Amino acid sequence: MRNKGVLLRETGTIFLNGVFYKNPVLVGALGMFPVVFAGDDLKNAAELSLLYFFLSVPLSFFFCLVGEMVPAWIRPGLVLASSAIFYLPAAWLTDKIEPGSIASLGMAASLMICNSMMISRANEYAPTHIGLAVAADALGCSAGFMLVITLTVLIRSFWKTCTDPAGTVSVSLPFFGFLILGFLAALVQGINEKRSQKAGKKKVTRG
Amino acid sequence: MTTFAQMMITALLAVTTENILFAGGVGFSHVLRAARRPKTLGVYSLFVALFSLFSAVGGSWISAKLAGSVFRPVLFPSAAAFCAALAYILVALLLKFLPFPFYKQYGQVLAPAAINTVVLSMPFAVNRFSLSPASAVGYALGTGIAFYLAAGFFARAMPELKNDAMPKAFRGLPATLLYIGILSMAFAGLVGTKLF
Repeated sequence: MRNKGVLLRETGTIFLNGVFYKNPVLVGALGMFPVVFAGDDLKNAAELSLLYFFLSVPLSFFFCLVGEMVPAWIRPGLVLASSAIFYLPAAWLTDKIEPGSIASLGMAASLMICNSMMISRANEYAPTHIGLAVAADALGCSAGFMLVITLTVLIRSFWKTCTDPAGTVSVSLPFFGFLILGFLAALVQGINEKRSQKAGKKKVTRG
Repeated sequence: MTTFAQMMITALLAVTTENILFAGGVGFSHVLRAARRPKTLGVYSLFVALFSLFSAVGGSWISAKLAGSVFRPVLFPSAAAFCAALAYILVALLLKFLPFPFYKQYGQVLAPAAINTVVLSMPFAVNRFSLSPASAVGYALGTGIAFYLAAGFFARAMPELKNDAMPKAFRGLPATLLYIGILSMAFAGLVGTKLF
């Protein structure tokens, strides 16, 4: 019973790390292209998040099952090849839910196949962890990706409507996305810094 | 001479106005990782150029095969990535069994270079795949040079981006992202619009 509690708590921590504290986009600088390139419209954000979810969850599970059977040097190639295959049903599913989405996303959808966040999770994390941890990680990263791209869209929209209605700054260009990511990454880093200071103080008080 | 000029123009475009990294915002995850290992940067960029050439040639072949298909928008990127994965496996296999220890020394950059090439060549492949052989070579060369310059730039800048004078929350990655944003802004001034 106690073990079950510990397992659930650890699963929750893995999920939360993916969503916020170790968000792969803001802490790992992974998979930034869809955010900076297509993160200027809520519809795009929702469609890309769905596509990421449909692609990353099966890919991570697949490599959780077979990853350790494959030699490490061949694994990156196999992950990329598998991602290319899993992309077909993922794109079909996304298009079923939101008709015309894959065509309208264009490049952003195509590049999901080699999204560095997803590839690194499937190549490095999934083969060495148990199914529950892999599931929590894949779901956490999907939610983390959705959070970052949604926040980017909201900031861009706010800037467009409130600060710059004349449209003098091209907020939909990639550079603006990088600037937003920089500030969001600073926010996460600041919060993590505060948390570690708090944890340090707690340890000292206990000691 | 015309072929050489065509090759050089495509290479120049890939480094400047069609710079997929700064103007397109693509591939920075790999650039930042490569910048952390400046010693292997040359070989890494060489692999990027080589794989870009394979992708350009393979992509035009796939594009021709799928020309009439209604599923091309979904099938093409998938097939191109699959071919790049096969190319990586073949090259890794070849290098691994070579008598000299090349793979031991540089094997670690081979996989990221191959994956990164898919990222870097996909925009070109999906949007306009009617490259002549000279343009394909020029594009591959330009992509390799652009990657080398960007990663080299960040390798030099990284110690400054961890400067103690800046607030703790901005040190490291946040400062790097802001720096990329400012550099991309300069390229946006050159290009003026979204690259693709």
